[in-house]
Amino acid sequence: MKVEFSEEALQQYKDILQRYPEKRAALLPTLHLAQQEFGWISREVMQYLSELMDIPVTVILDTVSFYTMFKTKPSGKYHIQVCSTLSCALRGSREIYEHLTSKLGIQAGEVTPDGKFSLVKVECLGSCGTAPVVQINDDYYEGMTPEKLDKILDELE
Amino acid sequence: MPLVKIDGKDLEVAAGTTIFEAAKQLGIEIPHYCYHPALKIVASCRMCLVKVEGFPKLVPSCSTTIGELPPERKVDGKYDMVVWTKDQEVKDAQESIMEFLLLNHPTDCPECDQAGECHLQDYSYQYGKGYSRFDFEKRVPRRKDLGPNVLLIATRCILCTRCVRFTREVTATNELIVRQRGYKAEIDTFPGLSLNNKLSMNVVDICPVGALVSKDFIHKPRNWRYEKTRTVCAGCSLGCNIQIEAMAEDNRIYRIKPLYNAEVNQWWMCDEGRLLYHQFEKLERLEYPRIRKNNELKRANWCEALQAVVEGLKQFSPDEIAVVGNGYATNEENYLLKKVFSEGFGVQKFVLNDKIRKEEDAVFPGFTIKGEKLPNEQGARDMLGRTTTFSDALRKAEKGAVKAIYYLGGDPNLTLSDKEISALQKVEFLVVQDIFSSPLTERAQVVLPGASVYEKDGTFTNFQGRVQRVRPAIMPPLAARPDYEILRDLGKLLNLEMPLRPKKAFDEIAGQVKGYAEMDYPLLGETGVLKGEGKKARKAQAEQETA
Repeated sequence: MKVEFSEEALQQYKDILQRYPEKRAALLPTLHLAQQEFGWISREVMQYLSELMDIPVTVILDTVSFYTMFKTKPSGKYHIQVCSTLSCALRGSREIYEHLTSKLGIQAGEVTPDGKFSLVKVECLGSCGTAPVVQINDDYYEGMTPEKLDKILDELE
Repeated sequence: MPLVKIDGKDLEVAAGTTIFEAAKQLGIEIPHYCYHPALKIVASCRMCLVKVEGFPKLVPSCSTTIGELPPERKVDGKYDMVVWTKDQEVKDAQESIMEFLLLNHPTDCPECDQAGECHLQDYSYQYGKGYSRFDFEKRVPRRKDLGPNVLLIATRCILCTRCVRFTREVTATNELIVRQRGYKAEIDTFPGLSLNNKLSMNVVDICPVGALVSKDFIHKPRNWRYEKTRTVCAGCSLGCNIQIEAMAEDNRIYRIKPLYNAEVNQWWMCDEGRLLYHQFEKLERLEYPRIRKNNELKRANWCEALQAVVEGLKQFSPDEIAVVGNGYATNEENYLLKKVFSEGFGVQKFVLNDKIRKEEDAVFPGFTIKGEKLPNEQGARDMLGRTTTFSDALRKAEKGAVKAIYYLGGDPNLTLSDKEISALQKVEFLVVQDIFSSPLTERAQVVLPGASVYEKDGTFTNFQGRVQRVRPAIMPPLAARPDYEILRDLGKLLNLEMPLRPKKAFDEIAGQVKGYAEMDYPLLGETGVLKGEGKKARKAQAEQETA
């Protein structure tokens, strides 16, 4: 499969470039854009960006591997992030996580065989006041309990 | 200029000088890992922490610069900075850093090639604790085959990133990166890429620990067992300063490393030069003088062989003899060649071997590998004066104008075309003074076994015109002798006055050859002297002595 930005993404990339003094400075926002576009940052994506941005591919891997929010393997259609830092831990994030592993049959860092769900444990999501918090794709689900979570997951298609 | 006090010693430095550099000027050594004078400063190893008066915490000396303070803020009324490098607080920090760096270190010194020249070992001994309080399982990252010449033993790595910066700044080839971060960080490359640039083995030198290992040197005997010789690389006309590590008992070279010379190679050398000694090991070396009798080369002793040369060449007029000098021979050898044949046989015009390997210069941002793959073409030209080419001499031989050739060799890259080899057949008397069997020796009347570049004493003149000392690291095989001695004894046989040693010959060169005036071996020292600057260098040396 040939990896290439769509015309729309290419336009967004050009807009990003406008905001930085040099191409290399635009690497992080471009990587976010690429993750949105391709779902995850594969080797091919890194090679494509290397050619597009004229940055050595090794430097791109260096950056991608440094930041945990860039996915270097494919995630499910719904990417579930369970906060496991202090406030959420005190309010029961471990039960949430264990409930999810048994319900979905996967461990952190894995994807369900049908490709629908992927699960990770993350550090503080910055919503301690409504702990425990689960983030599914871009949305927060706050004050979680196993029952509420079941309902949400059932509604997801 | 700012005035700084380091460990009680005063020093005036230019504003912007780092504490590390200032301390170095005072002869104070600050331990460090990530700092390297050729590379950008990252201050990540934290080994060079020092105490600065008025600063709330210890600062890395490699990245903290000294600036001018307004008069009212000066320490003790005059100092712009007061630094302590051996304070108890600093010592405690160094001890902690050493413990941190060694947390996951396998301490496999008994099987590590770096042992004996390892900064972890040395600093552990000088600044470390002597034991570790870490009793968890150690992290064991996989070792990686980074490229054709370099292996990464990742367990030993302390992530100073010198190698990464080298591939970014000096070669700009960008092969190496730090992958992941924190506890998981390790040196890596992109899947499918490898560290295979022409300068790759320099990362082994700059690695302060035993993580990056030269595949050529791995599991060879310990570095302290070698005899180390400072000399010049013969790989190209750049003339990198090198250290040859050899063992006397088996007369073998085990490793070649670059030595610092600010004007020539800085800290670096290319992989080809570093591994050049293998090329000489592979050659079928000439071991005995030989004389052709009944169409067969028969072993002879040196007296017989030299006598045969003299008798053979005497039958020809000077115009019929082509004397071939070589950019693989030292200045002294080329000089003696000219002396013997101009004074002994009346030869006027000399020939310079042009059958040499030549390619494009390999240019990196921090280093250029020269394209002429021989060390002393410049010097050979200087010594021989105006020359014709070897190709030209062979053409003349074809036509019968050249009837005798004295060939001074040493170049392992020599290749002749079939046409040139057939021209050799027409030469009535061919003397080959070389190091290996070749189409030339097959057709020679007399073969004189000489010495390789690692076996001779003298000087090379690099492409800049810098005259540098070459020293023997090993002995020539069996009856072979340094070319200098062969030419000297040939001259003696002709009743010429010959300088006994290369040193003496160089004194004669200084007296006769333009650009070499005022030079002698002690003056060349470690870094060499540029042609035409002998006088200047002598003056500078005298000034230094009086100071």
